[in-house]
Amino acid sequence: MEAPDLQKEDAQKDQAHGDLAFLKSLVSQGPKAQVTAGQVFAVAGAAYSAQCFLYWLQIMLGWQWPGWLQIAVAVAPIAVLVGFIGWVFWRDRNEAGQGVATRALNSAFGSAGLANLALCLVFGYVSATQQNFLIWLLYPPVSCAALGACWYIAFMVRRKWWLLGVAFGWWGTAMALGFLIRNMAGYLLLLSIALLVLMVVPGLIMARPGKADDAGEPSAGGAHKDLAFLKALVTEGPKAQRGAGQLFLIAGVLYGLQCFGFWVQMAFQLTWPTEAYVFIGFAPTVLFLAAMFWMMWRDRKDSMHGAATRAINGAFGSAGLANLSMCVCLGYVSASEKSQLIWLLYPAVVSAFQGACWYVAFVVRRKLWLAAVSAGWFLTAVTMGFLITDIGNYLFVFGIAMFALMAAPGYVMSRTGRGG
Amino acid sequence: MSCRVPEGADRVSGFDVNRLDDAIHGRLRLGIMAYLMDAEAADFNELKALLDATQGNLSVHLRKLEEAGYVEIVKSFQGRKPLTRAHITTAGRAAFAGYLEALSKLVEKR
Repeated sequence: MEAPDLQKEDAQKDQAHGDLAFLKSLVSQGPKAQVTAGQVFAVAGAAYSAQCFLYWLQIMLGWQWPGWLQIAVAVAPIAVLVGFIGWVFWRDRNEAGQGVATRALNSAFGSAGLANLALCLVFGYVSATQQNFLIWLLYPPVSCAALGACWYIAFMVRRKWWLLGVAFGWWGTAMALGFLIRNMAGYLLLLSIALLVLMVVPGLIMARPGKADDAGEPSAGGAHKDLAFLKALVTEGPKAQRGAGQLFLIAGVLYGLQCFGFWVQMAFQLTWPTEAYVFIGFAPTVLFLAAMFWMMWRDRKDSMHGAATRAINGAFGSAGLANLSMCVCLGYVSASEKSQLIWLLYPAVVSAFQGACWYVAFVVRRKLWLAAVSAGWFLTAVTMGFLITDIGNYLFVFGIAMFALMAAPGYVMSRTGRGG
Repeated sequence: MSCRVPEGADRVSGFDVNRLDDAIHGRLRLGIMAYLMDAEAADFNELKALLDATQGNLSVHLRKLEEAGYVEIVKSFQGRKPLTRAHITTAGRAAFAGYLEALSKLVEKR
């Protein structure tokens, strides 16, 4: 009876190999709606690039435009983009349910739009109330940083290196625009070129119909890899959640305490020794960086196979990198213009980027409390814009946000991720 | 797909086919579980498109997984449209890990 047993075993083995290949191909399926996103990017990039280029020409050639042309150039890109997005929504209204990779990718692009909207309100309000056009000129660099963040998430989801190049291109542009803020012609030309190279071109690449994903043909050697892939998938989501949660908890508590420390000093008009200011100013960052590097070392061998885990890690990571580029940009402009008010825009930008990354987490994980955290951060960003000249309340609001929207969600994430 | 196999087939080279969880074994249910390992939650239409399944078939398999306690089905409305969403449970995650462990006995065998 040996031979039939062996035959059955072989049949079971073949079936197991087939099942594993099927599961791996199912889970590693790429995003499908990138064609639409690519079309939107190409149209938006072309419209805004043309607008910047026309403004640049106006400066270089000293044109005097009639009023109607001024309005037409200012409004045309918005009209084109809104019209195109409306048409795309109408065209794709009956699309079937999307996979997690598509959701992650779309949410990344959507989150950049939401962050831009919140920051448009902040920068518009502050610029108008302070009657300072330079503050409004800081809005495009912030948008560039947000775009960098969404392309970074796209890189994490699709694992294509050119997407990482686009992300760093946008962050580089954000910083360069800060350096060029007093050189209007250079600023506009750079923005026009960046929109063409980093938005239209990637948009057209995305809009091309892609190759089908690997079918995941069963093979004896591949079965071990497929199995390892699926085993990693079981634990990596909770592990990643635990790691990110712990980091948020630490950051929320440290920076929350820092805000309250300065708020107490201002509210009660206390005079502290210089050492106390230095400690409150630097200790949270030193402790946070120490914790972050320790966690990166601890989790260095953790896998990131699933699109959802990659997207969420990418969202939180991209918010950090976007913050870094804005820190350089706003720090430089604030120092060169000797304006503390410009530096105070930075926490509002951080809040909007936090809102964007929690939005990605909500769309991917579909948990309502994540949407509430995201909305909370967007609201904080706008509120901070309105409170920018009232430093005491500004610090108080940011401190509350740090505890309620960073430390508390971080604690929840670290608890729910314990199962991993 | 069923996991019923002829008697004796479970004795080959130490691989015990009975260790394969009946509630998970089957392409559609395996697909649902593997997908939820990453996504954690998925809408009915999302699973239907992804697995190329019919409405009735997917409903049956989701119910089986729900009965086993491996997924939680939450029904709600999105506007006027009913929305069915499947969430992976802790028991489901453990069961899928166990299933892969059992499968690895077969795959890793020379």
